[in-house]
Amino acid sequence: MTEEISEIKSKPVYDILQYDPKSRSNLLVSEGNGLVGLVDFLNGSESIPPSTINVMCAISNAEPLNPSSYISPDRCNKMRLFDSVNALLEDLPVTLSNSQMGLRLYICGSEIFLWRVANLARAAGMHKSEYSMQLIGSKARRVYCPHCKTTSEEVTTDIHECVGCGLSLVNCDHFSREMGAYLGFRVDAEAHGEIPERKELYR
Amino acid sequence: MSTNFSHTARVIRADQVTPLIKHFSFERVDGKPFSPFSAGSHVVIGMNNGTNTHKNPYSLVGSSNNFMEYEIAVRLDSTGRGGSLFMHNNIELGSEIQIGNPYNLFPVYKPAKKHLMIAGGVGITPFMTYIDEMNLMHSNFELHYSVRDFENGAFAKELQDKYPNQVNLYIQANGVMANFNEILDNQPLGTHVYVCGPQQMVADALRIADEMGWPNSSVHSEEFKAPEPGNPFTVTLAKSDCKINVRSRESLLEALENANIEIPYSCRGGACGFCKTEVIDGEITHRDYFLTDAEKASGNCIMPCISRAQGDHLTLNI
Repeated sequence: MTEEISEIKSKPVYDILQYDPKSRSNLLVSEGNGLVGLVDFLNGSESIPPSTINVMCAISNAEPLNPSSYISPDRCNKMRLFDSVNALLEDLPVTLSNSQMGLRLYICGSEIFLWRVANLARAAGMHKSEYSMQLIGSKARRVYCPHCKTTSEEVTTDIHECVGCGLSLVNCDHFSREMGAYLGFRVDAEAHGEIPERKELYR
Repeated sequence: MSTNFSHTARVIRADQVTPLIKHFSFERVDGKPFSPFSAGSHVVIGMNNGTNTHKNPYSLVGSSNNFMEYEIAVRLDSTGRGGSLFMHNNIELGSEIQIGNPYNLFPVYKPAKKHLMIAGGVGITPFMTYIDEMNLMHSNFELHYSVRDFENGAFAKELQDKYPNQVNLYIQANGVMANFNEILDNQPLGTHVYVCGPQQMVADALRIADEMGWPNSSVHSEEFKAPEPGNPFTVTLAKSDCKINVRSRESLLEALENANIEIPYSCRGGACGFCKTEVIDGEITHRDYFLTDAEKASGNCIMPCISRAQGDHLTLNI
C-alpha cells in the first residue's frame, strides 16, 4: 500500500524527533515499537546530558520489548516502564505537573498515542513548540462522527460503522488536533443503503 | 478633534503618588459608563494645551469592574515631548481631557497555569489590572517589581500590603536587584511570563527566558516607544494632492493630524499596527515593532506614529 500525500492541510505530517538544545530537561515517552524512535533519537543526540533525560515507556504484552536492553541506564536520569498505555497516560499528568519550564517532551508511538500524549501536554500548559512527535506503529484512526458526536477508536478501514449511531461513516483526512481525531461522515448520505465495500487503509 | 476620540472626561481625583508619578481618575462628562476593558489595556489621552493636542497612550490601572471610572498613572518625563509635563503641571481636579476607547496589546493568557510578572518602574501600570483580575479569578500569580527607591515605587506599598506572598519588591537604592535567572528558574510547567519596563530590562528578561528554554509563546512583553525627534521633511499625499511639512519635534502622524488628515491609530508607539500607511516614494527610517523585516526592507509601508523619512521627503498613497 502506498500512502498518498493528502491535499488536506490539517492532516498531520510527522518527522523524526528533533532535539531542542535550549531544553533544560527532556522527557521521552513511547508506546510499543515507538521505543525504537527514542533509541535512534538518543543515538543521534549524544550531546544531551544524561542527567536531563527521563524516559517513560509503555510495553504491550503482544509485542514484548525489553527497553532496558535498548537504553542503557547511564544514558538517562530515570527510566520508568508501564505495562499498559493507559497506566502511562494516567501517570503522565502527575509527572508533568511536577515539571518546570524548560521541559521538552519527545513522543514516539502510534498515531492515536501521539495525540493522546500531546493533549495531556497541552492540558499541562505546554505549547506545541515544546513537544515533538514521531509516528512509529499503528496508523489506526480515531474517527469523530458529526451525526451523533461519538468518536470511534482504532479504525483501520476507510468505511466503518460508528460505535455510537451505527451509521456507516467514511473518514477523510480532516484532522482535529483538539480531539486527536479524523472527521467521518455518512457514506450513504445521498443514497441511503448504498454502502461501498470497505478497504483496510490504516494499519 | 479626531474621530479616534470617543469621550470627553473630567478628572475626579489626581494624586502625586511618587515624586515622578501622578495618578488620575476620570469620569465621563455625560455621566455614562466607559467601555469595559480587559486587563493590560491602554487608552490614548488627548490634552489640548491651547496651541496643539498631545496624544499619549497610558495603561489603565483601575479595576476593570468599575465602568464609571478610568484610572491612569503618568510618569513625568521632563526631557520628553511635553505630554507628561502637561499632565503633571496643568491637569488637575476638574480638568477635562479627551479619552479614546481601550485597546489591548498586552492581554493576559488566561489558560496559563501560573502568571509571572516582571515590572520595572512605571512598567508596573499594566500589571495593576492584571493583578486585580488574577486575584478575582484565583489565579496563581507572582510579581517581581524593581524600583529605584521605595519613594519612587508607584503602588509598591499598597501591592505589598494587599499581596504579601505574591509581591516581591527590589529596591535598587538598597542594593537589591532582581535576578532574572533566579526568578525564571524552577517555574512550574505552563507558566507564562509578562515583562514591562525600561527597554534594557525587557531585553535582558527576554534573552534570559530564551536561554532558559522558555518558548516564545510563553513570554510576553510590552514596551511603547515615544516618537523621537528627527530631521524635518516634506510629505506628499498622492491621493489628496497636497504637501505637508513635518517638523523636527513632531511625528508624521501628528503632522497629518494637524493638517486634518485622519489616520486610524491606537498605541501611538509603533506596536499596534493601526496606522500602517502605504509609501509610494522616499526612503524610510523604520522605528516600529510592528512591521516584519521583509516589510521594512520593501520600503512600501510606514508606521507614521513613530517612523520618519530618511531623506527630505516621502510620498504616501493617501
